[in-house]
Amino acid sequence: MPTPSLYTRFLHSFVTSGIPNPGLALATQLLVINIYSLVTVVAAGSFGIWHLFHGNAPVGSLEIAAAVVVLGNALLLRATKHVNLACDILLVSAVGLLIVLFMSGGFAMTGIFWFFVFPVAAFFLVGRAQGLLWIALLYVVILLLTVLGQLQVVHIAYSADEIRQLLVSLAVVTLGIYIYERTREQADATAIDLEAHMQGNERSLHEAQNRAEAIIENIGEGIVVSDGHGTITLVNQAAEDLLGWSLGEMRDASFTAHFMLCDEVGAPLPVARQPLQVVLRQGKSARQKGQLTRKNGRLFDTVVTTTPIITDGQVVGAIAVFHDVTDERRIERAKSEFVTLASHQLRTPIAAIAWLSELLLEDEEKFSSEHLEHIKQIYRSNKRLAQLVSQMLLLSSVELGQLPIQPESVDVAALAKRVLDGQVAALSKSKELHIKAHFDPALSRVSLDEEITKIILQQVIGNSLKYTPEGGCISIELVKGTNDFSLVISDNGYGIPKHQHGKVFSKFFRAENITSKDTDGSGLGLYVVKALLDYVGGAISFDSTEEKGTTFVVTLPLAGMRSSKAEERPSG
Amino acid sequence: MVVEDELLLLQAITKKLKISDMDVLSCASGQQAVDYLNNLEKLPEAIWLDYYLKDMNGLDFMQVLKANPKWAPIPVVVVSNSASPEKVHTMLGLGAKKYILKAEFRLDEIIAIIREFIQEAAEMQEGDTQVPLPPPPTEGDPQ
Repeated sequence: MPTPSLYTRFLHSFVTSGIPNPGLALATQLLVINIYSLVTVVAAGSFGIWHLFHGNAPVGSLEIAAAVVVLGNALLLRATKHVNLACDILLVSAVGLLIVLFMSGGFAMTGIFWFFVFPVAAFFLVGRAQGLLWIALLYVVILLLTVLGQLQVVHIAYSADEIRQLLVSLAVVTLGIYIYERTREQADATAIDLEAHMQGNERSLHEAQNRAEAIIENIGEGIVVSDGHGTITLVNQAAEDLLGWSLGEMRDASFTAHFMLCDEVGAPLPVARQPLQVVLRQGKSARQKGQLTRKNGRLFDTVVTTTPIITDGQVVGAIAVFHDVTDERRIERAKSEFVTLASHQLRTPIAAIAWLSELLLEDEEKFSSEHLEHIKQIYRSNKRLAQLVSQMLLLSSVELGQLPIQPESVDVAALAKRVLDGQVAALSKSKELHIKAHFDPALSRVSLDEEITKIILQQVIGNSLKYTPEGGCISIELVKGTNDFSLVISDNGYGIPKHQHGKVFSKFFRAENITSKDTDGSGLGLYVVKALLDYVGGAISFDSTEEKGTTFVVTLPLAGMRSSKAEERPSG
Repeated sequence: MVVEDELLLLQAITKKLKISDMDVLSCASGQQAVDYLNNLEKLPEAIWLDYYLKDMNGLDFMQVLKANPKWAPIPVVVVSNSASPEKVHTMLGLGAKKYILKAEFRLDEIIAIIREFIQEAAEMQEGDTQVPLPPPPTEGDPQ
């Protein structure tokens, strides 16, 4: 700021009477005192001199006296800084001057102006309460003089009517100023309240923010926060430790620079499938497994849970929470590899039992019917065992992400028909079922992994046939939707009890109403189907009423399955 | 010729083939099979090959087989415990006629398949048009 000029400094000093740093209220007071004093001195002084020259000695000298007093008061204020005293002296002088004007008819000209400025000045100088007192004083003095005038003790230049008008006008002005002052006070009070309130709010906000930051900073999981454009805004200590980059390096950079999720083999997923991008675009939470890269280039297994930040219905950012799951993955992989190995080992004796039973059955005539029955049961049990092992192998490869998906153009209707025929052929010859199939002619070829689709269809269709008793009805439909297609299979079979609906897709679940019926099953079938559908981007739902029937709906995208070349992850 | 290192299975397969009126040559290891091939006067009409053998895997065996022009035309059916798409692809690519999972097929089904290939090979040798492959057998239980 340039040093104020001499003139500015003089002005400033004049207005504030040399009092340093006055507050707003004091400054206003000082301003009024000094301006009022200045004008009074000039006006009263001039008129005083004028009156003296024109032979009006008493009025003239009184006016000059008043001017001198006011001037002296202002100088006194500069010296002593007693503002309140200065106000009182000024007001007394003003009253005195007004009386002189009153007595001498000075209101005719500009004097009347002073009359009405007085209440304003009084309010500004000494506040509302005292101001009223001063005005009342003026009132009383004028009334007194009027009475004295009536009694011919003194001579008043004004008639009774004029005096009345004067007093009424004074009252009106006073009232006006009074109301104005009160309103202003209330507004000020409200403003002060509001400011205090806002400051209080601001403080609470700061506290909350500090608390949140402290929490985020100390959480053991890595946290990365981005704005609506994918630019990283906040990263906590755990994230810095896990990723190797510091907050400074990551902040204000796009997440594509330092926070890219990679797949099983370390290849970064396309940007559109990155957790932050997905959540920013869809506005919904997502949970993804994969690997992240450290600053030193090394990868680590992780699970990233990302949530959108939504304000007023708009997605304004996202928070990704992740941690190192290398240990968990190692255990998971070891378990899965064990299952895989064990399953392979199990298949040899399973094949042996199957083939040896088959050989025994070649020599049917050598056995009693009871022995034959036993052999058949051995054969059937073994078949179940084989199926269970296959399912477990499939599951472990899905869970490890190692099941390859090889889509090719598949005629869905033809595949469904083939599976249906196969399942029907496998039924006991004595079981008659009425089957109705309708395949949407609009549905032609879809890019699917044929083997995986076959497994899904076999399980769902097979279930329907299995859990519908002799004489029942099955209806199968292939329906083409807008973005997907569905296989809808309905039966009027045993149904699933309502209270068990939630468990239908859980491992080894078999409904209570069918364990007593003559059916067998591992309880893994639907669990596998659901896992496969999750794996390839499909969905499954059902509705069922015990003893009435069941309807299952399997949905797959028309866009087909995405190819996946699951490779063995290098260990370590 | 049956090449299978699990003796229990080898016995069952051999027995079944015999009662199906086929001559069987049982080999419990890859090396044994190669020795036989080297020393036989009459080559087998088909080979039943397990993938995981004690001394070599099916891949190596196939390569040895196909390297020899006398042995190459013999139809090979791979019957194994595990079948990853890579393995299946590779074996079929090397000339195996079919890749079968043990746990999913009955003996008589497998034998029927082998018969088809023998038939086909014989007809090809006589210069006839190729017999189209039979459709895969549907899954079924004897009840």
